[in-house]
Amino acid sequence: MSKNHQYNDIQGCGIGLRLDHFDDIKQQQPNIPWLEVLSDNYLIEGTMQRRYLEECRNNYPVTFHGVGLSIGSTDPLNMDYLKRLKKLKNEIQPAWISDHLCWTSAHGVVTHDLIPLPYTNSVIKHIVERISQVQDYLGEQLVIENVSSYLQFKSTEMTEWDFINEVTQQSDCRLLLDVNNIYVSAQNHSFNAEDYLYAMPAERVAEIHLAGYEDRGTHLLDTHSRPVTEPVWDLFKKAIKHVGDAPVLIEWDNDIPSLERVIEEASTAQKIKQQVLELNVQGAA
Amino acid sequence: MSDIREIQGDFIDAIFGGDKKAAASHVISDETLTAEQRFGIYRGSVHGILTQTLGLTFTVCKELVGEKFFNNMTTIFIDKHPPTTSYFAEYGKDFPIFLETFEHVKDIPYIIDISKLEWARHDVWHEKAEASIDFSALAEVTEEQQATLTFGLQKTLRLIQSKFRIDDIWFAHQQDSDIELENIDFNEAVKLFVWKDKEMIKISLMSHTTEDSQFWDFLFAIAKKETLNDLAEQFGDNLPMLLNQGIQSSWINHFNINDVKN
Repeated sequence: MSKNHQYNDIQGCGIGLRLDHFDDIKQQQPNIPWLEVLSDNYLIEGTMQRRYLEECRNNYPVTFHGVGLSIGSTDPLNMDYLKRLKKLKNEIQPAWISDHLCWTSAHGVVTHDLIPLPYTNSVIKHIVERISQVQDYLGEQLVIENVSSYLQFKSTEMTEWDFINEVTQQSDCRLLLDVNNIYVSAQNHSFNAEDYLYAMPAERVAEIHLAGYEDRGTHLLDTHSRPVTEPVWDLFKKAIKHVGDAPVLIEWDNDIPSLERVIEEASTAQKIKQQVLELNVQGAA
Repeated sequence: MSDIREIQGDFIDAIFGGDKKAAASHVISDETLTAEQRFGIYRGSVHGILTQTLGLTFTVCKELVGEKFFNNMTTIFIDKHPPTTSYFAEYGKDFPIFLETFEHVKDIPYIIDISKLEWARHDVWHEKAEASIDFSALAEVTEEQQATLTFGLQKTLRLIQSKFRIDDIWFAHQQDSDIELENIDFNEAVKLFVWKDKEMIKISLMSHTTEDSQFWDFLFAIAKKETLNDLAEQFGDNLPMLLNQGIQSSWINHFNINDVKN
């Protein structure tokens, strides 16, 4: 599987492109290293959002991030969705396409939410087949993200990190490492976040996600509505030590603040990453 | 694989109002939350996402009934009409149909037509205008073909009619509107064009003159796929003028013979 030739365009700490910031980005053209586009929102042709995306693409490198692939579903792959995604990919030329290691639709119904899977060998086989089909169809490696979760299945046979390792290795896909999701799931299921993090295949990490959660008392909810919390920044430092200089992205989807505030969060991530990388170099020397 | 297929079936059923025990039976309980509570987080999350989506499309409907009522109403709607496509933009098409049978909004009879207007705005926003075909080919149509000849409207146009003054009611709920609700004659019937003009969605009121009203009726007949012969019967001598008006405005932009698009 050949890598997309624009992988190297994506460096530093980017932000997710959101409708609320369209006008500001268009007018101010701020210094943002790259933008992650929620590809599902641009699969209908002719919309103004689509034209705006084309404008954005001229000024910034972009990646695609979706939720509609439903890679873990037992329904057949949605070829209409994939066809539209491939067409958009050919027009916009993102550096890569990512989606989530979960299911969002089944039995012909779409939840638009990220629902986890039981971690079993039969599910690995199912997912690997589907990722391979998607990669063949799109003609490039897929980037798959670990999701946050609020439940665990009785039928699960292994840890989530073993499951991710098997899926990424057997399908030869890349990994979008969401550090916030690791922290949220670790808190919700009482496991050690570092056990998970250090088990991740560093060589497969294409990108790191950071976001803010809400504490609902009995569980943490991955709402993307808050600044990154201190424990997640701490885990992020360890992630950089583990995977090295990977591109980082700030996700903010609810209670979205000003563009300046989101860029500020990305700058914080960049500073932390730089500090960790410099310490790594000094340590090695 | 039967295990995951069964899990997904039970989850889908329970997320959209079905038996939660079957879904929870797959989930581990612990000292913090029961299996049903853990599953319930997902039902809550899915409903939250979809309620937010509906609230963004049907903003005036939401204002008319208030946020709490709207959220309760959409919970019932979501359970009855779960999304079946991956595109958010397509979710909510059935909301006006749902409102027609939802007894709790009978005190606001115009809300059904407001929801149709809001869906039309949303739908048009996501459509791409198409160039008109060369209508000179109409001259080649045989008498036999006229029996099946229908015209097609521009994708970025919707026609809405109501027994209520829904355009003003809608405008009165917009920020910086100079229309006051107390000055509206709610029971004034309207025929409206909802259309995309470059990057703006416009709502245009058809005036009550006979000519304008007939043009709206003509386009409405075209939207219903009435054949050229039917149109001739209904609009008589005015047909050439109306057809010309529709083509010149680009609101009629193609024709079909035997369902083959030209």
